[in-house]
Amino acid sequence: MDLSLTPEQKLLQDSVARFAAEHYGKRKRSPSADPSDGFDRETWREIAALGWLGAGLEERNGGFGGGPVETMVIMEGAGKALMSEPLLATMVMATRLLVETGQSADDIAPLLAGDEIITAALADRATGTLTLARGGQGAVLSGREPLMPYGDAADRFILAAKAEEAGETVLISLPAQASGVSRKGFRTLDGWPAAALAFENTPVSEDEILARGQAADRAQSIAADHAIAALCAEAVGIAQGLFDRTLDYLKQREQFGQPIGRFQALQHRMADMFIALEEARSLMIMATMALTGPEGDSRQRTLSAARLGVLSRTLHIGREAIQLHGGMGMTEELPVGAGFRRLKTLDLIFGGEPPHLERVAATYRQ
Amino acid sequence: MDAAWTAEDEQFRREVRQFCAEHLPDSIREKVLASRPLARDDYMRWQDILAKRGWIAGFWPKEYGGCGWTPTQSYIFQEETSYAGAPWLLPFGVNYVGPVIYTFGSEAQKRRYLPGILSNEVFWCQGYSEPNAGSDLARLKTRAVREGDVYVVNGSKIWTTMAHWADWIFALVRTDPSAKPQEGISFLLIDLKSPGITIEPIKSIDGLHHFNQVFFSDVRVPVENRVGEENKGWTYAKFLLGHERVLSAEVGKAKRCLERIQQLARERGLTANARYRDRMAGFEIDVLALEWTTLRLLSAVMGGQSPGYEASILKLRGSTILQAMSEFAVDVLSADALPYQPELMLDRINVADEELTGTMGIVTEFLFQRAPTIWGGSNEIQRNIIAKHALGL
Ligand SMILES: Cc1cc2nc3c(=O)[nH]c(=O)nc-3n(C[C@H](O)[C@H](O)[C@H](O)COP(=O)(O)OP(=O)(O)OC[C@H]3O[C@@H](n4cnc5c(N)ncnc54)[C@H](O)[C@@H]3O)c2cc1C
Repeated sequence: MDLSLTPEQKLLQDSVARFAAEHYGKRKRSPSADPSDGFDRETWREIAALGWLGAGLEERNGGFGGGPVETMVIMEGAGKALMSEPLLATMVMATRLLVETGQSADDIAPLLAGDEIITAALADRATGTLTLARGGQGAVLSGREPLMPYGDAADRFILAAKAEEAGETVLISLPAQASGVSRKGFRTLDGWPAAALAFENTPVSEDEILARGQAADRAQSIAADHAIAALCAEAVGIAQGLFDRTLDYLKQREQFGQPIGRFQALQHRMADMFIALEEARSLMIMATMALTGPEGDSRQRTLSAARLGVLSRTLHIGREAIQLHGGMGMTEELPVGAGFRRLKTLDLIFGGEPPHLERVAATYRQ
Repeated sequence: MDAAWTAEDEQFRREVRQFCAEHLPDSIREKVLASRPLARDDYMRWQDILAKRGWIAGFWPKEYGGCGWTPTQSYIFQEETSYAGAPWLLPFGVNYVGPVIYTFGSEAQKRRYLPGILSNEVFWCQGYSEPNAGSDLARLKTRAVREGDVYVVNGSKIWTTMAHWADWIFALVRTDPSAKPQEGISFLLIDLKSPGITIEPIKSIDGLHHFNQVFFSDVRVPVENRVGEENKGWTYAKFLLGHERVLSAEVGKAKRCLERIQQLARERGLTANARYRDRMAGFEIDVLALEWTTLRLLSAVMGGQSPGYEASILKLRGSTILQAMSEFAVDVLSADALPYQPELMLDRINVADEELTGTMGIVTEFLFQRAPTIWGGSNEIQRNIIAKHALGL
């Protein structure tokens, strides 16, 4: 058994850290504090040029022959720097949906090159609100997708609709400029951009349909597996960043004539946070390793367990980071609150905690 | 032992409840119940209503314009008003500086400052914390140098809640830099319109503007604005912090919060979920423990004891329970909690049924509820107090 990174993976890790330091190092404020900080296409192209978007993909899909570990490395580094580019929604979700529905390397290439931003929904409540019906020439899409990440900036959306007759899921890849699409942008709890999309008899051609029925359900479920592992890595990265800052603060901040880190009450809190971080990292690795094994119920259960364990631990670190920073932790000035807000967002997507708890706990019914 | 309220207390509770039902404006109550941000006017309007009824400073002694409420009546008032959805009765004038002035101030100060608080015409804010003096307030550095009959004040105060709305600030300033940290501090009342004061907003974690940094540059404050003796301000400051902590249990708000979560869960079909019900039962028990601990403290205070470490228990538990409940409310909202752009809420401050912003107040509340475990003496400081004063450690 070898749970350490290969030399190539370490290089990738360094490259992510360097990029983050260059682009985010000087940024003091959180994404929510400054609208222009939300997301920038140029930065996205640079990320693509560094090869991150294909780093976790096999060569036959146009990637660089990497896998879940590469994705984990990128997501963790991005989390630590609180990078707000669409890594989870595009690099992980959208790409995985395209791969799992059998799109060709050529089809995926523009996404990997950073030329086309394709996003897929992360909040699960969307499923079922879109309907695909037979219309004039072919099919038409109607309904709402209330929360599409980067919905204003995206060039293309991947949507799950219910086919009106068959009642089956249909996965659709639709250009943002399609007729009958309206979008309304807003920010989410983490300060990141999203949009509510509304479709009114939007024509959908046969080649815009990625998959139907069982194939669509399977693609969605596998994409969710990958997204959950990636989410764990991002959460661990964020928690590491919050932990480092807090440890630093405890050494710098003086009250009662000494650094507050001298108070044993705080030392023990920090020690507990340290343990939580180590455990979260272990569960993150467990989740990543699960992706290299066979698909199915057992893998899903492992991923749900990882997701629950990672978020309970990293959220604990987030709450403590604010508390131990005192008044400073309550400001937008420091990225402490921003990290906490992103962690809570990660906690609420994909149906939040309940379905995962249900999945893990169901075993004990027998 | 007798857990029954007296007939007078029951009568008083009915009176407050009735008053809220009749006089609390719907538009304000709706905002409070939805945790939407309140405007200065919302606070002032409600306080004007209370002032007219003579209830703004009910616990003050009659001779200073209060109603001489017993601690029990004050508790009933707070519980009933906050349960009814009234805004937080801003404590800076009524609960903090007012009692300091009538307890330690001169006759002239009482005549000059108390009426403005009672009539809700003067808005106060609290200038204690500084960038380097938070938990350890004795480290404060803002200087007041005496020049004849004025103090010249230089320095800055931070985290000053609502300073951008306030008319006056009560501040702790250092008048003798050579004295030991707790000594050499004086308690000054400063008109925020004085030349040399600038107020800079600090945005908080919820993206809104609650607090500020207040800068003093050669601000001239008449010596007559000093409360009590020079260099004895620490005594008055501590007296005030005691008042601050007793207020923080917020049983009425906690009960309302519990009901709101239940309503959200009902709307989302969650009440059949056993895990949801377990969490709710746990919270209910927490609130009951808080309520009965508060009642025990009240009974002791009514019996003549002064609140000591017990106030720290209330501050610590009250803040922690509300914090956990406000996060659970967001969990119940699930994906509906994701849209969060507070400017939208401010633009449409009274539009509660707006799809995007309808539940944003709950998210604001969740984020802002990280503060009560920090302010007013952090929960770590409360534990230190309990360890020292209750346990002798
Ligand atoms: C929303 C908000 C509004 C506020 N409004 C006002 C206001 O209107 N006026 C005003 O004057 N102040 C106000 N405050 C300031 C508040 O009272 C201080 O933030 C608080 O006293 C803590 O001080 P600090 O922020 O400097 O944290 P620090 O004192 O630096 O504390 C940092 C951390 O160290 C811990 N710590 C410190 N000392 C010890 C110790 N001895 N043992 C164990 N742990 C310790 C603290 O608990 C905290 O977790 C407000 C604060 C907030 C968050």
